[in-house]
Amino acid sequence: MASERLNKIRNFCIIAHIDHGKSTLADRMIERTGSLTMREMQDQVLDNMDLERERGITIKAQAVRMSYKAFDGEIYTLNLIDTPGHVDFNYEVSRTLAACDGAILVIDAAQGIEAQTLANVYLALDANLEILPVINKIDLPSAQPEVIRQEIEDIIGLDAADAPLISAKNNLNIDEVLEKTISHLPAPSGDEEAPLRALIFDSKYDTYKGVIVHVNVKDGAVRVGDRIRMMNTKKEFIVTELGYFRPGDFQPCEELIAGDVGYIVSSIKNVRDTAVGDTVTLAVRPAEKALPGYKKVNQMVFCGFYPVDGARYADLRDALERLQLNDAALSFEPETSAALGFGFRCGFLGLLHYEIVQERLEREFQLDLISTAPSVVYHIHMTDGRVVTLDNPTNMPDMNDVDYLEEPIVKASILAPSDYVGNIMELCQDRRGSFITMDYLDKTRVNLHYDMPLNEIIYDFFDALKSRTRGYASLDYEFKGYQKSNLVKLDILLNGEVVDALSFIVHEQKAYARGRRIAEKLKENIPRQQFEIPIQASIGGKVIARETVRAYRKDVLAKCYGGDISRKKKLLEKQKEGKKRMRQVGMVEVPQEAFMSVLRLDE
Amino acid sequence: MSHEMMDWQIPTAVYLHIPFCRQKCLYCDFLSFAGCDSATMADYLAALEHEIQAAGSLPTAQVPLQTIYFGGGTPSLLPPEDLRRLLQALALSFQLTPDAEISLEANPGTLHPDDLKTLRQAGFTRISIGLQASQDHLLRRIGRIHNASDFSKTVRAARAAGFRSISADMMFGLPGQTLDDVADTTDFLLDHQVDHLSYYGLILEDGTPLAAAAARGELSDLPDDETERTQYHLIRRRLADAGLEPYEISSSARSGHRCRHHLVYWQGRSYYGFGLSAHSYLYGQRRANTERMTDYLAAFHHPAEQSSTGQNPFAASSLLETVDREEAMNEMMLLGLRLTDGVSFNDFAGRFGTPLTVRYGKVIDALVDRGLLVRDDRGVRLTCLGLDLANLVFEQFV
Repeated sequence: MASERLNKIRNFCIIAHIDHGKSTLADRMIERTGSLTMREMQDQVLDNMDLERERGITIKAQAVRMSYKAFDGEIYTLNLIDTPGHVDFNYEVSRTLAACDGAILVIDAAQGIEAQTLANVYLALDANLEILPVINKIDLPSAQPEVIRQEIEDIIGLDAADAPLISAKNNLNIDEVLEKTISHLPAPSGDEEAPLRALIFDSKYDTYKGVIVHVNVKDGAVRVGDRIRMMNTKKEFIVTELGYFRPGDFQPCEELIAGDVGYIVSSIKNVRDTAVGDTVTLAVRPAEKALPGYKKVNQMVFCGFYPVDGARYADLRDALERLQLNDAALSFEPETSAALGFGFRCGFLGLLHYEIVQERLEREFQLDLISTAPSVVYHIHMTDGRVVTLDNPTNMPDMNDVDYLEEPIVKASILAPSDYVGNIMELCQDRRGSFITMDYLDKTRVNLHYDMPLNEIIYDFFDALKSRTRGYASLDYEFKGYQKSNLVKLDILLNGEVVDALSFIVHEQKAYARGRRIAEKLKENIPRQQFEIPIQASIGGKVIARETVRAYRKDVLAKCYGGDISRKKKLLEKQKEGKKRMRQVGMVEVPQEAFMSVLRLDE
Repeated sequence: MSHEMMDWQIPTAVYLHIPFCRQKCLYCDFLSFAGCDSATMADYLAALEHEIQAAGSLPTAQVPLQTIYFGGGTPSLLPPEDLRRLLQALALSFQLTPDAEISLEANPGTLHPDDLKTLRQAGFTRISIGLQASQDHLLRRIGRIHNASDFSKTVRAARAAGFRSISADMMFGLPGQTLDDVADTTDFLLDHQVDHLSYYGLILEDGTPLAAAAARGELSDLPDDETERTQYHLIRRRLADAGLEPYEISSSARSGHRCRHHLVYWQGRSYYGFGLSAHSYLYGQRRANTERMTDYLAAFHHPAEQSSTGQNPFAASSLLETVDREEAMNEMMLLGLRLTDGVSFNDFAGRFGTPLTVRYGKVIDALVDRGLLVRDDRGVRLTCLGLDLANLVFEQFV
């Protein structure tokens, strides 16, 4: 039986599709509960990374504590925990959900339920969360709240009869959401007297404080000065500060007790010691069992990052180290490429994670990067019985020593309007998918299930899917297992020399088309040079495609600038500068765009 | 000061900029103004005279000048009396050698036969006439104000006036220009017995109307690179056959008619520059005058009765760069390789005390391997391929 104190706490998250109004609703609730003055209020407080705002997604979990005086006259503590919103961060999503007891499901009154929302709703239901549906944007001319109400009942099977009809943008019926949060969502059910068990649902690195772990205290209590222990990593630390979250801010306090959501600081230097999903307990009185759900994250996608300017190698290392402090899922180690020089092999949870890291490196650290084509991790079964893993095609052993290869397969589910089923099936077939099943969610929408090789998804599958469904389809996938496959290593040769950074592993059937397309792309992106440059794609020394960049005939500025020698020199310097940004591969100067162009073959 | 300087550091050349035109050509990005009133032109001439006077106080002013070049713009737009006055101002501030080369750029049709006589008498020895092409439809495409027959008249009048060295400019790679057009223009110029010819490939400079037209896709008949190069080599071959030897990447001349003033640039020697936007290379410094007319006039504005002697000769200029020994070496290569004779081992070692092969051995080896440079006992020079890909060579020296 929950205590009186616990009865006054609600820990919940908001689930919504991009643009359905999650951040706006959060803002209104924060505003309404006076947790932030109007002046402090900046639109969409929760998404505080630039990148998150632009992409309209949440990358890192965020949390905020609100105090709300309900109509019953009691004061309640509402902890809103924001969830990362993408399949790549599925594990983080599930940990965030584990920190909640309920969820507000925001559905757009005009657009209805979208695939991504549904995926997260299922995760929430799996985590035994109580769900409060809310229909937003009811003031839109195209709003159909009653149709949507029915949809929620039909598709998700939730009772939506009492779902508040709101407009977060225009501050309509926000009180009703707050009241229903209290009446509809359960209070935490922890034991304040039991040994400490606090779930880590996120962690952040702060230059002054070290790692700040975000926790939901399930049982017991923790105070400043306590010696805490991470139950899975076994690391121990002394708590130097703890507290709860104000919007965009930390509020230190004396102790966190069962039911509280807050943060702990304890001079932790490495985010890896505080893995998301781990359980914090007290060293003096440890809990017997950790909270369920902890899982070591595995990188699924790998690529090489190289600075365009080789002199910035050290800057790139520093930047990766800084990002890793906040992103334990990112891995990197030095690698060297004959074509690209010194760089790092980086591992990511998925393609979006890869894109986000790349973008953050470029924006937050002003680095110009060349990225090699992303690769998955292959299992190579050698003739001598050994099995080696391969995440960099360059390191492919001699095929004579290889018995067979295995590649990772994922369970993919694609949600889309039924009009596009044909297009999607064609695409999945083309990407070596095997059809599993297809569910009609209603008359107009289907959920297609395919088993697909991950290496077919990581190139440009998202883009291809979007363009074949006018942007309506959404994709979710999870790792299934490894499968034997007829894979070959495709090499690209410029002027007869293999360019290591352009090698990749591909299914035999697709090698020819892929090789030809890459050769064409490179031809478009490599400028004419003094000599004719043959571009070849080859498998095991056999050329399967060839293009030629013709030699140029002219590169001369012979005008007499009336003694203006400086101008002439500037023009030459500019030309030389442009070439410095290129990579010398043998005799050939290759611009960075050429390396990038092979990543977008569908364009 | 001059006794400490090496020969190449002593300026004996003057460039004078006349930034006026009747009409801007569509490809031109040099600083010049079309349709200026006579009052502005008079103010400009006064300021220019003051600048020349002020330069008379420079430590090298007593060394006689060997070349003077009036460039533009269209210097021939100025009344001959004004041009004479400028020459006199130069003669007062500096001395002139008896065989000084004094060139004037002229547009066909801008000079009356009497004007040419006056100019010859004033001391001009050489005239450079911009024909560009002998086909009137091509001249219209690039916004020239004259036609081919204007050119013929001007050449005849110049000879009659006693000019013994006549140069012409022509262009290739023009929109709509065929190989035959280029051959015809070359023959046209040879028929006129020109002594010197400069030939420039069209460059679509940013900000010019022609570049804008190209950006709008209106120049679909621009010759491709292959054709442009064929045109270039055709010009050089025809001229050589007629006794005008190519001596520089853009110039061919009869014996004794090489442009000594331009050779100053390519040999990395020093020169004065007077007038709006004019460049100079003095005492190891490259400077440029302002490009703003009002600033220039203000810098050299003086009441007529006052002398400008003692005024700062650099009042309108700003320093672009100081050419140290390293940079001077680079420049000697980058500029000298434009010349058919290239850069000689003797000249390089004589100037810097370091053998060329010691300073640039590796770079030169690589360029020779790439077929862009040829090396012999005397020195290094561009190959025929090197003429087409000269920037690949030059960029090694910036």
